[in-house]
Amino acid sequence: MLASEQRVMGSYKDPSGYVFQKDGQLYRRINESYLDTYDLVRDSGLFQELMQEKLLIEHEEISVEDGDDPHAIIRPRMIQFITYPYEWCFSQLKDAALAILAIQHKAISKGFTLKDAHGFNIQFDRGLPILIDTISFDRWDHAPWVAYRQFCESFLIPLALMGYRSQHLNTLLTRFLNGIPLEIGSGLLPLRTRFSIPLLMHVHLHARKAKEDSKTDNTSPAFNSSRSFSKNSMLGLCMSLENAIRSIKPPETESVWDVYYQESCFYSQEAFNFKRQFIASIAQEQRPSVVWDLGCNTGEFSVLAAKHSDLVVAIDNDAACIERLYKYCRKEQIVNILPLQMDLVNPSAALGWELQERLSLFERGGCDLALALALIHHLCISANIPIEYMARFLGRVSKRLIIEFIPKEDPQVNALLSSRKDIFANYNHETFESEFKQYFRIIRKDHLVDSHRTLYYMERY
Amino acid sequence: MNLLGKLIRIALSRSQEELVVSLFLGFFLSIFPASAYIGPSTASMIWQLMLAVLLAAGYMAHLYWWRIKGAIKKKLSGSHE
Repeated sequence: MLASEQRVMGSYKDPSGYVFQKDGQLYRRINESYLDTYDLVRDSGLFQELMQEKLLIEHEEISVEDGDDPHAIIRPRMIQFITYPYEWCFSQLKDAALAILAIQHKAISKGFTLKDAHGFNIQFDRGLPILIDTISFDRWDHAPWVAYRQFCESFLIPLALMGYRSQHLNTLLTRFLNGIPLEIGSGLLPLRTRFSIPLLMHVHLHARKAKEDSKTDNTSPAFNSSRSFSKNSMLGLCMSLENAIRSIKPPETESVWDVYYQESCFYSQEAFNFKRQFIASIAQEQRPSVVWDLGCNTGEFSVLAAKHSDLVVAIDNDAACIERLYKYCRKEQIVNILPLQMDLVNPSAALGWELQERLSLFERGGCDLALALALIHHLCISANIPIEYMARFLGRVSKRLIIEFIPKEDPQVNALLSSRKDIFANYNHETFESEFKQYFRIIRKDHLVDSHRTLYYMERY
Repeated sequence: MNLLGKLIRIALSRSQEELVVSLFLGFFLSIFPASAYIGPSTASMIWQLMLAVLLAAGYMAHLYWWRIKGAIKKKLSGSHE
């Protein structure tokens, strides 16, 4: 590897190759051991078919080297913002699972199989799940699917837990990066899932089988599992897993945040229209490439910002809101909004080996414009985050900022303080402006009519 | 050599003796489970093999569902006549 090249730390498990960065571009190296297979997959037309159906990231062949270290280099198209399965809502994880199964189905039809079936091989690109690991294919020798257990632990169990228990249980994937173990998933799922044939087969009995076999004396020679697994069996497995995935529905919950803008009385129609116009005018004028809508709720303002930007990353802690926004974008074919489920008080941290496999929120690049609308009082009052910390955080992640300050006179803040002691002596306009001026220059400031709230537009120094 | 061995040798030719001994040993040893090293995913491979016939049958039924449905309908309407 040249000095100018930097290996992506999360790309180390597959001996077939790895991903590296050079001059701001991303490349994938294909090692000698995989070169023949790569040629076979390419010549079969599988890459082409998957790319046409937007199931596989496009790539460009850069070079093929012979000599002492034979290898090839390809350059995949870059994904604008990397996300991880523990940040996806239920429907995003479900769509990713179905994409994996669709890819496996097509691969088997051409005599290949997926070596991996974990969520980190999928990214959301233009609103759709897409496989980013081009060298994840292997020749299929009529063996059972080597990634079956990984699929069950990375997709089926998390989805079942989200569907049958809580939509926040995908966060277990931060603890179990390789997928929620069969035994743990089976134990956490309710009894009624044992009456679902697909879940009984692929989770509960599968877990029992794994548990029984793990107790077997393992001092004898390796077990040879090369018994033939027919094409119909493999396609039947894909179909069965697809039925299992499709049978899981998100829980029918309606959160208070899900209907916030429809039912709230915190804005008059005039105030709400003014807020929309304020955001639209700045977005139209600045044309930001990447917008982060922090505390996006159901994405009312994300949709507005998306009309004037390349990508809006819409973040909220409420699962119902993100689920609703994702489905709305899918239905309306809005491809440049990426909804993510994340608690801003505890955003995604760096994870994995040497804490470099999965990037923290900060390490994924900042944004050109951040929206922090109806957010500050939740962080400062509910979560006790000092205003100075919030200013520092926003100054770190964004060049420009539209932020709404909600004072104590506001009914929402009154409601938050009604059940606790008011220890927030510094929560006022003066402190807010003073702290934010450490990082930003206030360009525009407007009071919302019929409201105590103030909108600010700021630019970082 | 014990009495049993003597009796077998007397009663059978050498090749027949070997066959009997093999069968005897094979039967006796087969009642002990063959211990094998099981890797973390080996159980999943075995589980898939156990489900193989069921999965294939399900897939074939899905593929030919309409044909099966049509055949059943035809048979039922034929029996009513």
